[in-house]
Amino acid sequence: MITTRVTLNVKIGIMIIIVSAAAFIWTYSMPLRSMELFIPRISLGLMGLGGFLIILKDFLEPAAKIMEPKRENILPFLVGVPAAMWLYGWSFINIGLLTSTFLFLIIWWICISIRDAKRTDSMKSVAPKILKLAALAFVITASVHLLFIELLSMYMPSTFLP
Amino acid sequence: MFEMDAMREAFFTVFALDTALFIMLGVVVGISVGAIPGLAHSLPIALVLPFSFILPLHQTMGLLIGTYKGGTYGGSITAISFGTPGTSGAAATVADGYALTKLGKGKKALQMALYASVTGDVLSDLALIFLVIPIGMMAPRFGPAELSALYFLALSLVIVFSTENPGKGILAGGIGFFLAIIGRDILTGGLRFTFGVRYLEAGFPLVPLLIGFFAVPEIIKQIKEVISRPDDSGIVGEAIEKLLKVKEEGLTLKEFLSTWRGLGLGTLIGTFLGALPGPGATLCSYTAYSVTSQFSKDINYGKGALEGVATAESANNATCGATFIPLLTFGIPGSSIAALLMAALIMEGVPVGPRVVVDHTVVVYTLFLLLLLANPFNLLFGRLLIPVYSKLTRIPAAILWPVIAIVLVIGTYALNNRPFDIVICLIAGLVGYFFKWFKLPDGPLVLSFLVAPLFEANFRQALTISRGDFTYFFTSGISQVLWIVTILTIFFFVRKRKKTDSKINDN
Repeated sequence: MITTRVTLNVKIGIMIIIVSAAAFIWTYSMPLRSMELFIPRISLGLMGLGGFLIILKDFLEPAAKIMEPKRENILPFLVGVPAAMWLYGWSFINIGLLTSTFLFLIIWWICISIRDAKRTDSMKSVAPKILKLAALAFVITASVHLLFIELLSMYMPSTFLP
Repeated sequence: MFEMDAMREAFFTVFALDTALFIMLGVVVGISVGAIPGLAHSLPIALVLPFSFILPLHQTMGLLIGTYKGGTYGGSITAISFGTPGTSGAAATVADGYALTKLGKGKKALQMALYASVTGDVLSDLALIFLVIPIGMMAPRFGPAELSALYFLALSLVIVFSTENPGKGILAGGIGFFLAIIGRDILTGGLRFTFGVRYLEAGFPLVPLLIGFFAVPEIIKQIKEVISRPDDSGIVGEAIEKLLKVKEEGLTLKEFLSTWRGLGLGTLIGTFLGALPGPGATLCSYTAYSVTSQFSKDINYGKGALEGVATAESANNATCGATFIPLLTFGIPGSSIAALLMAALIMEGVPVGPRVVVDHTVVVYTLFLLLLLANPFNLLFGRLLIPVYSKLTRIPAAILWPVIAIVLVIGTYALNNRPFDIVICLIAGLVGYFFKWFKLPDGPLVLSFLVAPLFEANFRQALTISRGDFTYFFTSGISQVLWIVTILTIFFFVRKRKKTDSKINDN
C-alpha cells in the first residue's frame, strides 16, 4: 500500500539523507587521499542508505503498522541533565571533589524533599529528612573519596577546597 | 604433548592456600569494580599489575585472572539492575536483563547471568585446554583478506538481525563506523573529521563513549521521571515498586536448562570469536545475542527473556579462556585485558610466544588450572554478592540516580584524568538518547565502532598487498567460505523476514 504520508520517521530520514549527502560531498574538498576517505565515505553512504530505507519502509508499510517516535517535551531534560553532570565534572576538578560531591547531592535532595513535602503537605517532617539525607550525602562523599582517591589513586589537580 | 610431571608441579602450586586467597581477592575486587558503572575492569587489572614485581607467578596470575573473571561477570549486575552496563562487555545483557528487572524477575536474571557466566567460563577454559594447538594452527591462516571478510560477516549479521527495520540497523552501523574513523588515519596519520579539536586526534575514546551511550540516556530518563512524575518516583520505576512487594523467586534448574540454545551458541561464538585477535567480549556478546535471536523460540527474546541474558553472559565470559589461545600460541593479545595479562607474564620472566608451550610447560599448565579454579570462586562470591547488589534496586530513584551520575562522571574522568572524556561521555549520552527515542538498535553502533578500525586496517593492508586488486579478497578458501556464509545468511534471513511480514499482513 503506497501512500504519500509524511511521518516523523520520514522527516528524520530526509534530514539524515541531507546531512550525510552534504558530508559525503564535503569529503571531496578535504585535503586527504582517497584511501584515507574510503571508509568515511562508506560510513556516510551507509547513513544515507539507512535514512532512505527508513523513508521507504514508512511509505510501503500499511498505516496501522507504522510506529512513530513519541512526541514529548524532553528538551529541558536533554539539556539540563547533561549540563548538571558537566557542571559537577567541572566543579570537582576546579573546586574540590569532596565539596562539590556533597553539594551536588545535598542540593538535589533538598530540592526534591521540599517539593515532595509541599505536595504531600508534610513540611514539618522535612527537616529531619534533610538531616538524614545530609548524613547520607556525607557517607557517599567519603566513599567516593576513599574509592577514587585513596584506593584507585586518581589524579586530582590541587583545588582551593577539599 | 601432555606432560604428567609438569602437570603435577602445576597442580601442587595452584592448589595451595595462598593461590586460593589471591584468586578470591581478585574475584571480589573484579565483581565489585565491574558492578560500578563507568569503571572498566581493565582498571583494577592495570592497578594490580605492578605486584608482578613482588609476587610469584601463581599469585600474580591468580589475582589477575580472578579480577578478569569477576569483572567480566560483575558488569552484568548493574546492566540487569539499572540498565547501565558496568563494563562494555555486559552491554548486550541490558535489553533482556533490565526488562526482566522491570518485570520483577531481577533475581532470576542475576542468577542466570551468574550461572551463564560460569558455564561460558568453564567451557571456554576447557576449549582453551583442548583446542589451544589446533586453533592456534588455524589462526595464522587468517590474513588481512580473511579478517576483512570475517569482520564484514560480523557487521552484516548484527545489522540484519538487530532490528525489524533494516534501514535503522544500517543507519546505526553507519554512525558507529563514522565515530570510529574520527581521529588520525591508521596508516598515514592524516587527521579525519577532528574539526580542529586536539583531543579527538587520538580518536573517539571507547570507554567514555560506551559509558555515555548506555548510561546517560537512562539517567536522563530516570531524572525526568523523578521530576515530572513525583508520585511514581519512590522506587526505581512504578512496575518495580509493585513487584518488589512480591517475594521474588530464584532461578529454577528447569529454567536454566531451557536456555541451552543461548548458552550453547553464546559459549561457542564467544570461544570462537574470543580466540581471534580483536573482537573482545563486547563484540562476542553482541554477535552471539544477534545470532541467537534468530534461533530462539522465546517470543520475549529482546524484551525480557532469560535466554537473552544467558546468551550475552555466556558469550562475554567465554572470551576469558579463549583470549589466552592467541596469547599462548603466538603471543598475540586478543584484547586490551589480554595485553595486560601478557605484560604480567613478561614481567614474571615468561617470554610469551610460539615456544612458550614447549619451554614453559609448567607455566602454561599453571594458567590452565588457575583459569579453572577461578570459576568456583566466581560462582561462590557472585552468589554471595547478588543479594547485596540486587538490594540497590530498592533505593528510591531520587536518591539512587544522582549517585550513579556522580560515580559515572568521576569514573569517566578517572580513566585518563581528562575532563574532555566527560564531554565525550555526555555527547555520546545524547546520541544514545536519540537512539532510544528513534528506536535505533545499539548493537550495530557498538559493533561497527569496535570493528571499523580493525576492518579498515586489514582492508587497506590487503589492498596494499594486492596493489589495489579487489579480487584478492575472494582468492583464499577461508575468505570464500566467509563471503558465502555472509551472502547466504543475509539471503536466508531477508527471505524469512519477508515471509513473517506477509504472514502478519495476512492475519
